[in-house]
Amino acid sequence: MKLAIVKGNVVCTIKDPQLEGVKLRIIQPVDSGGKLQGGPIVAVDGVSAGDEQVVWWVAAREATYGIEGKKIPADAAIVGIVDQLG
Amino acid sequence: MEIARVKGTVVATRKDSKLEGYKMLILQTADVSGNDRAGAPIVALDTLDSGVGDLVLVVRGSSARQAMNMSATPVDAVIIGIIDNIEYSGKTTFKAAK
Repeated sequence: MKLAIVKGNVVCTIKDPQLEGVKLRIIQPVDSGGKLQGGPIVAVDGVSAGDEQVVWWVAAREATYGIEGKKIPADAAIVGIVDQLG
Repeated sequence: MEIARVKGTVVATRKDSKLEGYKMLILQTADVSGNDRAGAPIVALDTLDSGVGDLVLVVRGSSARQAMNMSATPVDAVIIGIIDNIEYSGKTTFKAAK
């Protein structure tokens, strides 16, 4: 899993029906020191993260399990909100 | 997922039979304002009837096969949303023309 900062939202009216009701957030991947890792990407959000919060996320096939009770077409999913980095 | 701009279409008469009936589009990845990013264009399947010029959301890799009816389709990029607007750092950075 990787770290990122939540930066914004994407709204799509026309979308794959399996994404109905699923929040799409823009996240900026970072390392544990806060250094940016590439450009921003779009991730589904299963934990209702807020703007500017540090989150951890999964990439690739694992992200299809990112929303509880659903199997969704996603390659990035926010799965936790970071309280503290040790 | 990545933000991308639809740049063109691909037509292939001879193709894998599981790709029959799907529209194939050429995409260029874009930033949060919809401007083209560097890098090679990609080809993605489209089930949402996107058109050239639309800003879309594309899912890549094996996750793409989770899109509607794609479980046995040989595909690694599918358009899963047509973007209406993008908000980044508290500002609206993209809004689709109506």
